[in-house]
Order: sequence, then structure tokens, then C-alpha cells
Amino acid sequence: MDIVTVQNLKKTFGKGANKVEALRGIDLSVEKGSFTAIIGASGSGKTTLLNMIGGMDVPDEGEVTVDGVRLSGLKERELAVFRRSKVGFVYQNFNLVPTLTVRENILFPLSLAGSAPDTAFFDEVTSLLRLKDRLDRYPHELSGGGQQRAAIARALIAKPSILLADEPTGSLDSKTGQNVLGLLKLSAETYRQTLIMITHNLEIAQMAGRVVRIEDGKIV
Amino acid sequence: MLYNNNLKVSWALVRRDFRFHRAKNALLVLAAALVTALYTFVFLLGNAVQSGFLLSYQYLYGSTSHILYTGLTESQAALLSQHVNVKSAVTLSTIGTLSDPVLGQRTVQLAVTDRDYAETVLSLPAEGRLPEEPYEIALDEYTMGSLGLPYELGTAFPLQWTDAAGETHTDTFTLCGWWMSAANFTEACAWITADTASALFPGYDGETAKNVTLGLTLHQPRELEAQAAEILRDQGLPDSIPYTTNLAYNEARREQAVSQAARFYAPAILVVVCGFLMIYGIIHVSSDSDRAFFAVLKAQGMTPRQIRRMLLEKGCMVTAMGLLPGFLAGFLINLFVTGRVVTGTEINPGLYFLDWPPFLAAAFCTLLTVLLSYLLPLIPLTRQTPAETMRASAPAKAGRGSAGGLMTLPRLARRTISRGKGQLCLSVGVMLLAALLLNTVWMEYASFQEDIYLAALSPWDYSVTDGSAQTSSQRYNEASRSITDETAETFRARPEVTSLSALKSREVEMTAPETLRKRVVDYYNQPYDDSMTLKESQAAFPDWIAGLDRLTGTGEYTAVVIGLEGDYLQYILDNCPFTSGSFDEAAFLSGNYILAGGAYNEGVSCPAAGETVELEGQTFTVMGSLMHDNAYLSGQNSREASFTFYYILPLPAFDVLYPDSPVRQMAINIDPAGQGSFEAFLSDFESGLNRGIGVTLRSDYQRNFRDASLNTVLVPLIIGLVLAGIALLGFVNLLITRSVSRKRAFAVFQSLGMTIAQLRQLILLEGVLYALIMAAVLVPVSVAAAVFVMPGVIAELSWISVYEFTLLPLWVLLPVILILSVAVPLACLNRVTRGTLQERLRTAE
Repeated sequence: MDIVTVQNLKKTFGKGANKVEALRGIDLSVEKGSFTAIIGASGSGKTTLLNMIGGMDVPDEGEVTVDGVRLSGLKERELAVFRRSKVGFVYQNFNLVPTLTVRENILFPLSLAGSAPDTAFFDEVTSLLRLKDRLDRYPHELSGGGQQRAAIARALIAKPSILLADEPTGSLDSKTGQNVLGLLKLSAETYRQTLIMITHNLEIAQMAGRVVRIEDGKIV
Repeated sequence: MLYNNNLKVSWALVRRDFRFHRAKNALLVLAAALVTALYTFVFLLGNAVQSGFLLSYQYLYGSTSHILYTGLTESQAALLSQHVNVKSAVTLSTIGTLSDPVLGQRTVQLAVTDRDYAETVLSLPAEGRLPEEPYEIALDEYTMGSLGLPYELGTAFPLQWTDAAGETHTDTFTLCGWWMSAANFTEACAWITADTASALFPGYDGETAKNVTLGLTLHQPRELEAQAAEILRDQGLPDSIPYTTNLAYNEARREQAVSQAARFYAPAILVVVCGFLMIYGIIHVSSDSDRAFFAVLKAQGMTPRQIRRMLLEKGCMVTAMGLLPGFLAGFLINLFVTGRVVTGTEINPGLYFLDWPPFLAAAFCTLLTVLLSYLLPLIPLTRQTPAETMRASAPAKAGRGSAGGLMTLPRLARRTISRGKGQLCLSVGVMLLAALLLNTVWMEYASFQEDIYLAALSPWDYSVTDGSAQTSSQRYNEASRSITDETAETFRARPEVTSLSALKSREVEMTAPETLRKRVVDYYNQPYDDSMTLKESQAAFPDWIAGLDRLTGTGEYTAVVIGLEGDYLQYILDNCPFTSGSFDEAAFLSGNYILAGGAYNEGVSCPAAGETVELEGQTFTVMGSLMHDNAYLSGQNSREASFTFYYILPLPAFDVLYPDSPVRQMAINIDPAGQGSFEAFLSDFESGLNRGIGVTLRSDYQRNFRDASLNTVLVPLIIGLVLAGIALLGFVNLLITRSVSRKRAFAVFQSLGMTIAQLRQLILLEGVLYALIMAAVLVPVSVAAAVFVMPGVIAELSWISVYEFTLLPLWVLLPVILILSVAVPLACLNRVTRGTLQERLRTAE
């Protein structure tokens, strides 16, 4: 069963001489619970595609459906609710809120909805990601790996059906990167989530069940 | 689905933001405090001006009561006092009015002492006391001056008064107290005891005597005319009972006061615009990192409403923290400035008119300004997706790289400055606004010319006038002897005095020859315009019309003979054009000639040159007739002399005709070096004299000029100064943010081998470049405005304004900008280069 369906997705940035066609009619289906790696050169449109799937950006043309939700036509508030509920995003540069502690950062999507956290699940996730003793620290007090683990925990906390990771190991050394990747995969398997990950690393891509290559805005 | 819109999370983020970004938020709070201070000051000043006008109307009305009913019986007064609308009531029983002609246009009621009423008409003795013994009387100083009374308690004097039935009496009273009334009071009371009143006018307090004046203070002082009529109607009294309502509560007057105060409220608009730009400028400096922050929040699922709420709360927090210090600063500025703009209160008007609505308005306007600054930039942000927001926060391209690829420190500095052009432009724009405002205000101030002002308003350095001629509503009393020939000699003997000119006057009953009568009648019957004659144009002056009618019917008139010398003569020659004849000084000083003054209008309206006039049996030849401008005369002539001919002759000739006449007024010029000692002498002389005397000092005019000049520009000057302060704050914020946000970049430079000295040099170069960019915009625009715009502004400003090129505020501002541009980044550099390179490279900003 497909959890993500992308049809004829097109996106152009800039105008005139600066015009860049980031996506040129992408069609993609992702099966529920699968691990898909998206690879491609810089500027090939990987991040743009991931942003479209995560409801972070709107396409010029085409349709994105995630877990039965058609994203086109959603209002800004509905998109926000979609992002906090359905999608867990992990970025290369972590994007933690610097003024919040690790605990607050992890619980942030729930805080936005005013939902009470599932304490057992929170304990489980933070134990799994080895964050138990760092919960009251601020992001800048953690190492790069620690910050990325916190970002993964944040992505998991709302139990989203899909995890989107944009080069999550890009800012980390190889050993830490391997650890983070292992944790991400473990989390996805543990909570039966769909994982879509952008990476430049072919070794990492080979860990995925499916590899999608994008070149010049098209899947090849 | 996590549908809920938890708004508490916004507040948590705001609190955390205040903890993490203390410097920036402190700067914002400071800016909000300054904006609050400006609003508070502007609104307090406007309120004080408005209330000051209302107070002056109250003075003009002569009472603090809202309604004054006159001609009541005791029982009618008691009935009206019981009306439900009435908060308090005071009554006055009068037995008549003082009717000595020397009182001129003033009406003085002879009334039974009532302390409560006296308080409402601001007429309690400051010297002595209210009357307690038979035939004691308390008067105001202007009445005393008109009557020529010495300032001595116990002085007995005859006083003419007219009772309610119209009968005139003369009785002797004893002075028991006096007070200084406001110069614009045209009514006053003369207090006597109830026993004295009974003795003077038996039955004055009888049940049917309609001599009670009732002053009512209402619960709601609105629509006084309607309430006055309603009270009469409700109490079953005839609507023919006369009443007046307090001018201060008159709707039209209130509107007039509001419109008068409008120009003091107007700078609030300037504060809105500039305050917004300043605060927006401070917020906008960190817009890139803010946008990135918002992108993260949106990516996590924060809704536009939550972001809006967060910014609203942030704005409220900044405003709330800035309010108290802002109120305090605004109040202190108000205390300093309002006393210069508003006068007429015993204590500082800033305190006297202090009220809470201006503070409320200031708080509201500050909140509005701060929220505008926070929320306006949000409008495009709410329309963007998180990805768009992230793209927008990415560094903009900074032009083309160098051809060889090699980078020098100046080139690197230029490259840094060219990034974030928007913030720099905003900072420069805001500084330009402040500089233009300050330059404009300063040029306006510098344009006011004291010489022109003094030459026009103070033809001589000092005026000393008789006590009965201090104000234009007083009639000069020829019997008063405040200034004698001996006084004039004493003044003349002062070493500081370079010239002293005396003026005496005497009203004389005369009969015009037929030729003169016919000429004058014809003169005033000539057309004034298509609809009326010259005489008809004076219909608003019934005394004048009566005088002309008397001349027309009988040939009789009251002439005013003036003896003068020196500066007064020169004033006449300078300001009163001849309508016949010309001036011959030697002939005039011979004492055989006079100048005849008629209407200030073309044509001969009095005896003409070559005709003769007989005064006290002596015949004078008219040297010339004048369009007489009597502005140099202090006080009024009698009502009978409203229509008159002025006969002007040298002072010695006047003294021969009217020996022992007192001096009406003196014009004195002094050596400017002796101003201090002469004014000290004048002060001693005035306080030592036991009679009223009017003294107008040259230093009063100078003070008036300096006060008026400063007051004209004070409000915009203060606003300009505070806005310049906010603009500098914003600039400092830009410099700090530019330095602190490059912590990692500096670490990278150092990791690549840049020394601290090179880093310092880079920062220094950047600072100088910032200052140069500021100067490159500020100087040409300011000069252009000063050269092309300001001459027109100055020409429209005032009759004493002369354009003068000066840009003093700009020359003061530029060095400050240069010092800040260099010092602030250098100070920041020490902070951001702390710690090891590894720590700094890893640390997120």
C-alpha cells in the first residue's frame, strides 16, 4: 500500500536568466513502512521533492498525497497541522530551537498542539536515542551527534506516519553518522514508519530498500 | 491529528526569547521606553495647553462656577441651589457697582463679603484681610491703581458708587485688604461687611430685593446653557432671570481649546511614523536569523496564528517593560517643557494639569507602534511556506567576486557591508530622518532674529507707567501720582540711563469751530466701502459714536492734550503719517506749535496745518495733522474721549499749561552694560513704592523673545533628539548584530591564519565604511534640503525669521556615528573571539 503518491510534480525557482527548474514532472510512489533513499547531485531537486512531500513547499504543478491527505489545496493552518501530525523531519543542520531545552525541543510539536505527551513513549524514545541525561541541556551544549539525536527524537515524538530526513548525517563524522543512521532506521522499524532519506552517501543509500536517483529534476 | 492550536506555547517561546536575547530585547525595551516617553510628553503637553486655554477662559469669565444667575431674591437663590443637578452653590449679595469714571471699562461690584464666593472668583485678599469692621473695604490692585490709592492698610478714601436703583452715592471707606487679579479680568468685587451694606443700602437683603448673584457648580458641566434653562424651569422660576455660563465649559470654547492644542498634539503623528521606523529598524537588523527561526517553527507545525500570537505577546512584553520608564521620562520632559509653554498657574503647569488620560493614550499608541513594527514584517512571512522562508533567510549574493580571486582586507570589508543592504539602508534612512528633523528645527530656531523683534515690539528699553494705566482695560487717572516729576528726575539721574522721555496727558473739554465741525462730519460721512460710511464702520464702538454725535450736534468734544519729548516724539514722527503740514523741530520746540492727531486713516480728520487751537487761553498754531497711532499710550482715555482729537506739544509747553501734572508714562533707554544694576534698581523702586506702577522691562521682551523662539521649536526639537537617540540605538544594534552573528565566520578566518590584529583591522575598516556610507547619504541630502527647501520654510515661518544656513545637528551627529562605527564592533570583537577556535567553530549562533 502506497503512503506517498507524487504525480507530475513540477517546481521552478527564479525568473528570467536566473530561472531554475528544480522539478520537471516527478512521479513517485512510496510504500508504507519502506525505507527509500533519494540520491542525486547537488541541485538535482532532492530537497525540493522532500519539501513537497513534507508539506514544506507547494508545487507549481502536480499532486502530492501523503497518508491519504492531498496536500494541494490545504490552507496554511491545515498544512501546519499536517506537518506536526503526519511528518517527522530531520535536517542536516538539525534546526533545533536554540532557546528551548532538549526536552522542550523534543516535545515542541506536541506543545504546538497543546497535547499531553505520552510519557512512556517519550521515555522510550529518549532512551533509544541516548538522550536521557541530556534532556535539560540547551542544543548548543550538545555535540553534533547529540543535536541530531534530539532532532530525531523530535521527529518521532508525534508518532508520524512518515519520516523525512534531508542528509541527516551530513554534518556529522562518519562514526556518529553511522550511529544516527542506525537509530533512525531502528526508530522507523520500531514504530513502523516510512522513511524517506536524502543522501549523497551511496553506502548509506544501499541500506535502503529502494533507491531513487534524481537528475536535473527528474527521476532516472 | 494534532489539530489543537495551543497558544500557551507562544508565551513560552516569548519568555525564553527574552532570557536568551537580553541585549537585543533590552535595546527594544529602551526604544519602546523612548517612544513611550515621546508620546507621554506630547499628550501631557497637549493636555496642559488645552486645559490652560480652558483655565484662561475661566479667568476671563471671572469665576470657577459653572453658571452664574444674577438679580435673584434670597428665596429664589435657595430654590435653585436645591436642584438635583447642583453639586455646590455660592451666593453674592451686591448693593451696586463702583461708578467712579476713572474705573474705565472695568465693572466692580460693591458686595457683601462671602468667603466661599470670593474663592470661586479668585478674589481673596493676599495683603490684609476681608472686611470685618463697618465701612472697611477690600479691593483688587487694578481698582486701587485706577483710583490712585496707596498700598497702605487703613487708608481712608471717598468712593463713588451707584445702587441697584440707579442712584449714585459717595461714601468714605477704609482699605482693609487687597489682592492681585488676573490682567484679563474685566469684572471684580469690592468687599464690604453685611452691616456696612445695610447702612449704605437699607433693605438690600430684604425678601423682595433682587440683588443676589448665585454661582452653581454642577455635577455634569456639559451643555450649560440647556442646564441653566432646565434648572430655572424645574424650580418653577421665570426664564427671564438672567444668567451666564462659564466660558471654560462652553462647547465652542472647548472646541477652540482643542484646536489650539492641536498643533501640540500633531507631533504624535511624527512619533508614530518615526517610532515605527526606529523599532522596526532594530527588529529588522536580525531579520535573517529571525526568518530562519520562523522557518524552523513553521516546519515543526507552528500555525500562522501561533506565530502571530507569539509576536503579539513579544510586542506586548516589550511595550509593558518600556512603559514605566517611558512614563517617567515623558513626565520629566513634560515638567521641564510645559512650564515654558503654558503659564498662568501658581505651580508648574506640568503638575497642575497632570491627568491620567495622556498616560493611557501614550500606552495605547506605544503598543500600536510596537505591534505595527512586529507584525508588519510578518505579513509576507505568513504567506510563505517553510521552504520559502528558509530560502528567503539564505544569504543574498554579494556581487561578483574579484577577478584574480585574491581577497584583501578592504575588499573583504566592502563585501561584508554589501551583504544585508536592506538593514543598512533602513538604518541610514532612519538616521537621515532624524538628521533632517533636527536640522530643520535647528535652522528654524537660528532664523529667529532678536534685533527685529525688539525693534518692533520694544521701541525703547523700559516703559514705566502710572498704576492706573497698567493695562489696556484701565482708564488713566489724571489725579493719580504714581510717577511724579521727581520720580522722573531720580530715574534720569541713574548712571545707566542714556535717555528718558516722559509723557503727560490731560483731557480737556473743547468746542470746535464750525469749519472743523463740518470738515469732521463730512470726513466720517464719506464712504468706507459700498455698504457703509466711515462713521457706520465704527458702530461697534458706541462711546465713539456718541462722541462724534456730540461734536456733530453741538461742536463740543473732549480733546486729549499730550505733552511729550524725546523717544515719544520720535515714535510719532516714525509711525504717524502727516495728512497736512510737516514737522519743523525748532518751531515745535518753541512751544508755539502743536501737532493735531486724528483718525488713523487717509485725509484730514482734525484741525489742519495752519489752523489754530486755543488751550487754557493760549493760542497754538497747528504745525501738521497726523494719522494718529495711539499704540504708544498706556491705559485708556475716558469714555467721553473715545472720540477725540489729540493735541501734541512739547513737555515744557504742557507743563506751562498744566503745572503739577503727574507723568502718565516714561520711556527709558540705558547703556546695555548696566542692565543688571538698573533692573535691580527698578525692582527696589517698585517694591518701595506704596502705589501701583507698571514696569515693562527690556529684559522681559528679550526673555519673551527667547522663550517664544525656544517654545516654537521645543517640542519638535525634543522629539528630534529622542528620535536621533533611537536612530543611534538602531545603528548600534546593527553593528552589534553584524559582529556577533559572525562569531563562526571570525573563527573560520582565524583558522585560516588571520591574526587578531588583521581581524581588528577588518572590523575597523568596516566601521569606517559604515560611517562613510552614512555621511555620503546624510551630508548631500541635508545640504540639499537646507539650500533648496529651508529658505521657503523659513520665509513662511515668522515675520522675525531670516534664513541662515546652518547644519549644526548634522556636524554633531557625524562624529558620533564615526565613533560608534569603530568602537562598537571593536568592543564586540573582544567578546566573540573568546574561547578556543574549535569551540567557536562548533557553536551555533
